[in-house]
Amino acid sequence: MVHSSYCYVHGAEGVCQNQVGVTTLRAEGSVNSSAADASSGDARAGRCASVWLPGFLEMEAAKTAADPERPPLGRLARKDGRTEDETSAQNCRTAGVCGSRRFLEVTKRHGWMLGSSEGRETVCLRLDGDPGVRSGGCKSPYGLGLASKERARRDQWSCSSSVAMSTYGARHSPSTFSSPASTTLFRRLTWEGTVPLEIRVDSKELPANSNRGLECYFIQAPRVSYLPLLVPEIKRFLMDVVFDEEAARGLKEEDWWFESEDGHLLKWCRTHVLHGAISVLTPACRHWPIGLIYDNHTTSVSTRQTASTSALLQSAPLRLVLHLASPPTEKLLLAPTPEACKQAFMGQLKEADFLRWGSTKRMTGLRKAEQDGIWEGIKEHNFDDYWRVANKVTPTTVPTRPNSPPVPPSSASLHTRPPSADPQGVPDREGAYSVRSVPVRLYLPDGPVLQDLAPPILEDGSPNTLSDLLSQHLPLLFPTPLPSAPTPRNLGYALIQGVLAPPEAELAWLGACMTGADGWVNVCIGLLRDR
Amino acid sequence: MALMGSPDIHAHGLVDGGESLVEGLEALEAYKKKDPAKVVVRFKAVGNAPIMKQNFFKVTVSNRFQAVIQFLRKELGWKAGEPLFTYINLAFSPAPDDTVANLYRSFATEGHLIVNYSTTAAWG
Repeated sequence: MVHSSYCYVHGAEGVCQNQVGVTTLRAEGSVNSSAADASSGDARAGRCASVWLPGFLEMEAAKTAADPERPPLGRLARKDGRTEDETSAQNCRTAGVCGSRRFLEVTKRHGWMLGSSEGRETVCLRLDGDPGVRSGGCKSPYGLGLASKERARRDQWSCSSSVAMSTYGARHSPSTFSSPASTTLFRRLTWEGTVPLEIRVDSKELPANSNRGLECYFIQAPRVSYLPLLVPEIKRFLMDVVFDEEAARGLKEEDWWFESEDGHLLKWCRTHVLHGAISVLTPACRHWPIGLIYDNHTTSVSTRQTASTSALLQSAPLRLVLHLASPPTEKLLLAPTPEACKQAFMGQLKEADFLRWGSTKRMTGLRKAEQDGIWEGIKEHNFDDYWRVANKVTPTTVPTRPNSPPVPPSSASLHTRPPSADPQGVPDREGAYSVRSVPVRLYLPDGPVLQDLAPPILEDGSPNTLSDLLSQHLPLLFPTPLPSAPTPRNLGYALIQGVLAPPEAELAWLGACMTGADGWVNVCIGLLRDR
Repeated sequence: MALMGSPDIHAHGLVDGGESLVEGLEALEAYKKKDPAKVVVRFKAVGNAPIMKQNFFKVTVSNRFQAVIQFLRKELGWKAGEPLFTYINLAFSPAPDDTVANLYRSFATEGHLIVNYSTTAAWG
């Protein structure tokens, strides 16, 4: 019995996707399979391949250095001081799950990371040929050889230009966590997700005697964090490198605000058409999570009539302009301070709580120290601190139907799944499938934002899926399949936490595993192009 | 074989959107149109906040919640600096850029959206 999964290779030729049967992997990140289309199996060194195991999804693939349109990003520096020329692909991350239990990540150095049902990251070092040959490894039911070595600390990569490196921020290493394994796994993936930002101070606002030309700061910012929380780090850099101490004395952090800069592309706009290379500045929604700002930018780009490939390849830094004074408070609607950000954040958590259960008693039941703790977890970007409290208000998933796929016979497995890994049977009353409504919002590229009740189970008893939601609210983009037209052509795609979400993703599952830190599943809708 | 719903990326250079994109853009335009429908918002005073003579108002759904707050201020005759806190269903304070449409769909009870108002922070 063969399972369908997907091989996704990203390279200079573009995206190619394929279905593979039994998943066996070769070193250098290529994918070989008995049912594969050979042309898609090729992935040269430095590119990343990711494998979809049943129900899995890929988050992002790297761009190769062979892409001439991409400006060189300089050297990548590891936290332990060693450096490496950026001759091959950058961060490659894969993710993702939809109700299944594993994912595979190929790192830049051809290390493999597999999230196992034990909930620990296991590292497999370069597979050569038959995974079964790996000494000390054990075979998963999917035919992958694994070396079960736990990573003590995740490598941290900073993206540097000749200007600045984000060494000012600290990241905490993930640690094991003891709730249902696959849920934790994907919560951690979401938590660890980052997006590249390029932040430039408005040159008109630079204080006297500043080191002009250096006022640009690159940062891989956590998706779950907020722009006001980046200000201290940016300020430290600016004070150290750019500003003259005297001249900068009068600056007040609480007046700092961000604007997003749309790059030099034709922007099709309803009320007027903008010609030529114009920068369109719009106030960056400071109270949106950073990941949402980025994904929304990605989907906005997807609506351009003509766009360069690099713009479409989705991993370019989002360019923001930092202003040091005179925040336009009417347009921003909320003060640009961390305190206001925290209030907004707590409000969103409560709204999500209320949507789920019809009351906010879970949120109001938290002690003050816990409420503050959840925000501290975000400020310090500490997964454990955040989830210690969030676990009390976020539902988890317990599968109510037996959904373990049968083991493929060709990978006669020596590995037996631990009995605790896939609990079946009793539905959890506090669980994701029992909520009144999943907190989910749909973001169209230039608005509006749509929110409506989204029950986890439909009237006919089947789980509510992303496809159901999209067909219901955006039928022009996601037509409902009918007996006369069983596979209608979608005009759009859905991005959740930067991941291309499969239509069959269950909303309840998304609500437990792929929410932002504020409890919401944010779905950004982009447009597809003709092939 | 391409996965349904995945963006396809061409080789280098400019990529024209093609017919799909045009159709998609038209769909987005349709969704951007402001819905002129109105729903009933019911204001309920909390604590020492003054009760208004008129508490039920019809509000166009495309309005942001910020507009509702400003409308309430005007009705109460309160200036911008005076503290005014608003909540939905005595439970939470919505983001000011949330639309009445979204809040109504998610939280309306008995045909209206209940907005509580007070002079002090209660559930915030």
